[in-house]
Amino acid sequence: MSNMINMQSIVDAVLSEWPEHEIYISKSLSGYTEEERAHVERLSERICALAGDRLPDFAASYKWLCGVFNEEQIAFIRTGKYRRTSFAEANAEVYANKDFMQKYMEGLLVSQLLWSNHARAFLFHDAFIDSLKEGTRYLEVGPGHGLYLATAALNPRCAVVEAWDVSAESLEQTAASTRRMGISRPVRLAQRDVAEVGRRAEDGEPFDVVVISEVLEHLEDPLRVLKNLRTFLVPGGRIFVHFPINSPAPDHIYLLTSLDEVRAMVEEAGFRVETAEEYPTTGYTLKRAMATKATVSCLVIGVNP
Amino acid sequence: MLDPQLTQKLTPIFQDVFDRDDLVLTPELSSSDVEEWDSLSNIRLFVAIEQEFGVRFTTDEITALNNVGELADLMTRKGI
Repeated sequence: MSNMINMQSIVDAVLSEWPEHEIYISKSLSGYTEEERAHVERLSERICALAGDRLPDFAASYKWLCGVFNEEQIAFIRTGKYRRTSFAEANAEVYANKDFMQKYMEGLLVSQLLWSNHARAFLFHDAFIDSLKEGTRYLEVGPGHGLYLATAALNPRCAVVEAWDVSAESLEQTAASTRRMGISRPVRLAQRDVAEVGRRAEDGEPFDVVVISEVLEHLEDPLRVLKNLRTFLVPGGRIFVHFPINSPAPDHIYLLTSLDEVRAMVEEAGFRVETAEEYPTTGYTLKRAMATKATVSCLVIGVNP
Repeated sequence: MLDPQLTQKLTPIFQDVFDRDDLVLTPELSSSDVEEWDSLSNIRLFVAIEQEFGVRFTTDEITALNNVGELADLMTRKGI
């Protein structure tokens, strides 16, 4: 790890708070190729930039988050269901609770490195962005911490980078995040609810790429959102979907249990599936994850015919 | 020493959850001895015991476990 200064800083901060997590971290951060390690360090650098001198607080939030997820996991294994199934429930118990949300977002940021399914999904997105053609018009829906958005904004192939969220507060946080990550080029942030309407006559040019990562499982009707998003894509444009399955969390309300179900939803929305990948939770083979209903991050790229 | 009757009932649950037919229960057996014994499979272990014995564990009981001996003590306290 000699040249992975930022990754080491995060690991040190977490182990200082939570020494018992060492075996998990060791499992999670092993197995990367040299090339992948460069991407992991880039991810770590962004996490460090976002956390700044509050990295120890973020590490504490991460430990707290794992406890919160344990509660959800216990309920999920007992019942086979997520505890909440409506946006109103998630809003009342999670989104409207400011203190909870702050720790939740901080902990999730650290998980982007330390949960191997999250880190692998980030690498997959990196590779996707590297494959884009010059002049790509990029839209991300629900950019959150902005880690993915930063990859697009820092890549010269993306001529236009835009992000939408239903929440003005979330967009403010994304704006602050892009500044902290050193994004100096213009990134248009707009408050839009893609659950309501698709592209309207007054909307600007359609996009070549739409990215929606770890958003659909928070929604009551993800299929409708995918259908709406298709209207914002040029013919031949691609959608990048990251949908975690068997993934109990306080604000996850839509349960899918296999990659096939994710693919089927993307296809039902009118896309032709081009690529589909799945990354199991830390320490699990895909076979064991599926047998035990452990979380798997499913990534599907669909083409708008 | 573990109660033989309890051991007889717990062993197949452990073997199934950790997918290890060779697992032999001792009071000292802990997550550091079984590679598959992570936080997620620990939850699955407790839920399997809940289903088998008709008891309910709290989150603290599930997450505080250190070894099989402690689990046996906990089950005794719950009247199993």
